[in-house]
Amino acid sequence: MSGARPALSFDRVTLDLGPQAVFRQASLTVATGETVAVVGAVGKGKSSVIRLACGAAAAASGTVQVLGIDPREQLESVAGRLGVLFQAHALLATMTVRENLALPLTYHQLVPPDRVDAAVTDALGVAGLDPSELDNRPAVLSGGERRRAALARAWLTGWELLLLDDLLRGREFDDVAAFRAFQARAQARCPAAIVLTTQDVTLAAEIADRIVAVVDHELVELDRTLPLGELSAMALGIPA
Amino acid sequence: MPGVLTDRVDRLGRWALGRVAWLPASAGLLLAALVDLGWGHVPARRVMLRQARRQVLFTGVQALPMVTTISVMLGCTLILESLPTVPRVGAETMLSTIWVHVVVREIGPLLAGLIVTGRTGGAVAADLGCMKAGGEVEALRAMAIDPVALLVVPRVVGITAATVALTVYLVLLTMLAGIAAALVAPWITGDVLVYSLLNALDLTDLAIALLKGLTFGLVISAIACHRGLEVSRAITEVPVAVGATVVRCIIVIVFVNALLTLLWLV
Repeated sequence: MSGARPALSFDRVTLDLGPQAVFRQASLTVATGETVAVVGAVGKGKSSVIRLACGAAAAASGTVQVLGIDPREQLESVAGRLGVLFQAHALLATMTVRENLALPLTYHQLVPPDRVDAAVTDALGVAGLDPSELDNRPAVLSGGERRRAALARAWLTGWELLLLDDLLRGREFDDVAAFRAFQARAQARCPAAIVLTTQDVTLAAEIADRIVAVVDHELVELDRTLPLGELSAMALGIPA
Repeated sequence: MPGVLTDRVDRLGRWALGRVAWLPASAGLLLAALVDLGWGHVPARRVMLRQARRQVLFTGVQALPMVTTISVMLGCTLILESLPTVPRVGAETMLSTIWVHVVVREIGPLLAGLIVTGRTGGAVAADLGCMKAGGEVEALRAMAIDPVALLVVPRVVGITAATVALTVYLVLLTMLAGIAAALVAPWITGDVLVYSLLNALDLTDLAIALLKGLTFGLVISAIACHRGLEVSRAITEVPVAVGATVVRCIIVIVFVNALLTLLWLV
């Protein structure tokens, strides 16, 4: 039965940010092993999908389930199975890259203490960041390097579900091949679902199994057989 | 008419309560931190300890040049001001006692508290405020890491330990500076003063100074952490939080100082 459980599910979720409606009865299901891209114009609520899924935002109504739990209540029970790359890298400024990456491993005792350094170095390699940056603080890294360090942190804990907010071609991954290598490594260690948000519909079409667009406060799955121009038009609300 | 009056009193009461709502909220955060420290997540302790050491370094060690300068100047000024003046009012036999009471019990701890407020209180509020606005606190929650355990506990421990240490350092250095000034000043019989000062100083005075340092450390850390974490996602709230922290800390420290002195005298 556990194999049939979705990695992420939104069931008729309504979300408001202040007076502004973000979602109205929005639903989404992501199966284990799937890569789903959420696309949409700026400010339409792509990041809210990630924030709802990691418990950072609370739905006004409806149900959010992540790896079978309510992320607002029982996030601790999925520690080490869920990894999040936030839009702002959200690395702790007072810690070095090494300390940032080691933090969830140490805090939740995900690996033995003598394996923490090896796990951190390995994750850095997966994210394509030079190991010489390990003892630097985030402030001295470039924007792209910070994103990669944050991606490495997400990788370390995201064994079953990776939530990657605001992917951009050339920033986290040099090219589509690099993303595919990342995807393959994630699937090789444990069947994992990846939910990513991006404004780049072309990138989404290249790397995702399914594309979901935020349209009129709902999550609408797009037909991938449509020409790219039409997909972009539907996702971003621009003329084809 | 009575209805209007009741309504106004009610609104005034709510407004007044709203203005001091931070006080119980800060106390609640302090309590949560102390519970976390005593009975919290054990693997987090190593991370907490490392962060606490950094806080001690910033609040205590890096403040030493400033505290040393202030202590020396204060000790010299107080003794040089009081020694020629006090005999004129016939209180020379009381001088040592007054000096010990003023420096050890009152000025020393209060000054240490105000220095920590200015240097550290505002900095901690800014630090946590930036972390809140930058989504770092949110990221910790997403990793199922308790922000109180990771961010508040080390600051409470570090600031409190450093404030106690700075209080002792400031008090002792002020005394020593005063004694040194008395010894080198040609118009004072310094050796008599040294003897009577040491005679007037007892462990109770130092215990009061320590108690005040401990209380001020807890107060500053709780208020600064609470105000910093009150920042929402707007970075523009950070400077407001810094100002509010300093003001709140000063008010509470001065009040608590008076309260502790009063309790001791009663």
